[in-house]
Amino acid sequence: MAAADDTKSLRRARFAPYGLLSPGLIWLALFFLVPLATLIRLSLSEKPNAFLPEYNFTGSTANFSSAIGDNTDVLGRSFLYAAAATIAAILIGYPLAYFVAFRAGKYRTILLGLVILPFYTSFLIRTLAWKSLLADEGPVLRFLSSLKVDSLLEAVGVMQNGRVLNTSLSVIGGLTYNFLAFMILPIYVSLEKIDVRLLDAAQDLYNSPRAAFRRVVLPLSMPGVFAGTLLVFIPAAGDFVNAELLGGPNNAMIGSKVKDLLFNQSDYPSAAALSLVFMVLITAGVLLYAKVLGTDELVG
Amino acid sequence: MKGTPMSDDEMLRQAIQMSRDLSRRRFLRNAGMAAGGLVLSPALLAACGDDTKSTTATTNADSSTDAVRKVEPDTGTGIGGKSVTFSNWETYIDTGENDNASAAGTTIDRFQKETGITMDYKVDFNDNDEYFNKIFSPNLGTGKPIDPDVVAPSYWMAARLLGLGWLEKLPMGAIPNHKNLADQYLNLSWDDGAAYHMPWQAGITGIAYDPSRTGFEIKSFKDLFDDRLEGKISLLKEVRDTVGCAMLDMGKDPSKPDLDGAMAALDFIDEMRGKDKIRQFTGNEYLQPLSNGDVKACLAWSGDIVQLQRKQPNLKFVIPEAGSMQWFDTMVIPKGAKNTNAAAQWMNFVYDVDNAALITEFVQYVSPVKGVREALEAKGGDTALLAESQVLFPDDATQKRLKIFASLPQKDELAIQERFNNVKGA
Repeated sequence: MAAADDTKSLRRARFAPYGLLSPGLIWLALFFLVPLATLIRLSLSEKPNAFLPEYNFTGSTANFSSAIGDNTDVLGRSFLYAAAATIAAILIGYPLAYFVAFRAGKYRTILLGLVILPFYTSFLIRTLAWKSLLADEGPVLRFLSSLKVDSLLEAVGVMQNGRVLNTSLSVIGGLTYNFLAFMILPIYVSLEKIDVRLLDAAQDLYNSPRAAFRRVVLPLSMPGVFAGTLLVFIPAAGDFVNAELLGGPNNAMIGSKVKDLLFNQSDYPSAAALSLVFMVLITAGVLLYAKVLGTDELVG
Repeated sequence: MKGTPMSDDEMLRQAIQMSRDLSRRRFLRNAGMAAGGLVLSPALLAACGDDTKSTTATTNADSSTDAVRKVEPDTGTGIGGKSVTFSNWETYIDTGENDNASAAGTTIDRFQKETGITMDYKVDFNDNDEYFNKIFSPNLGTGKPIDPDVVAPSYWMAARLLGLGWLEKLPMGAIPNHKNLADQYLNLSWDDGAAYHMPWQAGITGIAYDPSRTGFEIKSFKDLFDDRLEGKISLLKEVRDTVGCAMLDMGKDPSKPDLDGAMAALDFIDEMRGKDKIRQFTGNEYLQPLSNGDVKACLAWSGDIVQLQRKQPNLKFVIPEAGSMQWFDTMVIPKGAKNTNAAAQWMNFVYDVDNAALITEFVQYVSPVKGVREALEAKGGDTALLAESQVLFPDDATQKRLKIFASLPQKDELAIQERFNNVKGA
């Protein structure tokens, strides 16, 4: 009898983790796997008449080749803008997170609050505000032209044709601004965990402050940088608000294309194929990035 | 010269509208309402502004319609008869107390009292493409009827629906006022004689600019691409407006199906985009750049500009010499609708000249009903001023230059849309 009870409790113990996982698994299955499967099926289908709700599953990959073929420019641009915004966010966010984590002292909480503060205003309103600030006759350009630096800025490509808006730079700037907090917060968390005595130890071992940073702080903060990169790069690549509001007809990103295919052209299979191509490219990019950074150790 | 900066309210309003992804029609409706409030009597203004008690008013309206339903016998002779559901765009009809579209004295209220038909008025039509992909196609495409008995899509969507066989023919016997329909709607290629649709309201597309900013007069679509305006102009995201204006400028007629002409126009627009001449393709978001000077001239919709002119009296709205585009939203009865007779009675009611004049007075769009201008003139006072508006009542010479984009075969329509999507976001 005792042996049987043991087996039973053992069995129960073996299944317990699955029981605990089940809400998450069911959630994932319902709201990720099922839609994903539908999306894949749709992308391999054809809609004989764009206006009729009929789909024929053909298994043909024609939608994919046209999704890639017709949109190479836009796909390339989306990843380029997202990469540029991510790098800019690291360059701005890392020093800021470092300062808050190590130097802010009692103001730390307030400063962190300030990082999050812009989120109390809608994403759209903040982006529209940039549109006003950067307007051709707006405060920023007026200031720059009073400094007589506009021709210099034109020469280095920051300004085009007397404007900042509706250029690649304004879209990248908008993406950086809107997603910056998603870079700062994870880096801050990883920096804040670092035991400052490690820095003392490094200096005791004859490391200059710079070497101590490079050998101790930077490696220990890499998980934060990695997480921040994912949190910025992925949504930035798929974003279309910044491109639509701050960009011009030569700065379109992938989100707008998918929207056009879905609504204007009623072409669901192509929209599904383009979305999947985008997902695969993002996933591949992330895996490659993880491999290069060797995040197995970093995350663990 | 610095541009007039937008007020915070204006910014916020635009932002909220953007965030709802408003189409231009819905926006225009709001703009028209505001303009209406300014032009018309203080009582109307108050009606526009105050919506604090709308719940009570709705309840009252409901109880009054209940009363009607009980008293009146079934007067229907066609299918259905006692009720009708109308899906329309927001703020596109007169409202009474507390901004309620069926409050006492409104068009809907009078319709209900006169005919004994209960109207369920919905403002759930926000976007042609969205409504098509969510409601029309999945239901009508599989032979299922949809809820509303009357819907008011834009003209090209109505043409598409008719082409797909998804519309009921109007029971003309019940619509004697069909005779009041303005002539230009009677010879459309897709529905000769307007047997399947009755226009609700119309508007005009033209070029808006501030001569003090451009430094020269803009007379044609080509003038937008003058070197002096490089990167300072915007065109519209509505394919039929932008492509139609370009076609007219090239001497082509957009009111005739002409795929090659449309593609040639798109080639031109694409070339201009490549030369960085076009700053943006916009919906109603051109208002901000136009007022702060980012955009010196743009394709725009009449209703918007009339409103903006109040703040920027310098602003001009021109219809190019070569002609421009007109658009309209139109009432149709979807296939399998339950209450076609009541729907016909509603159409008849709003095509009564006096009833139509009241709606025009309120929404300030181009009315498709003959005689509205005279009816407004007869009312005298501020209302009569409306009759003189060129934007509401273009004169015959102007009207001749306005074209309605043709209905094209499906594959051509989609080919143009696809090409346009690639041009506006290359």
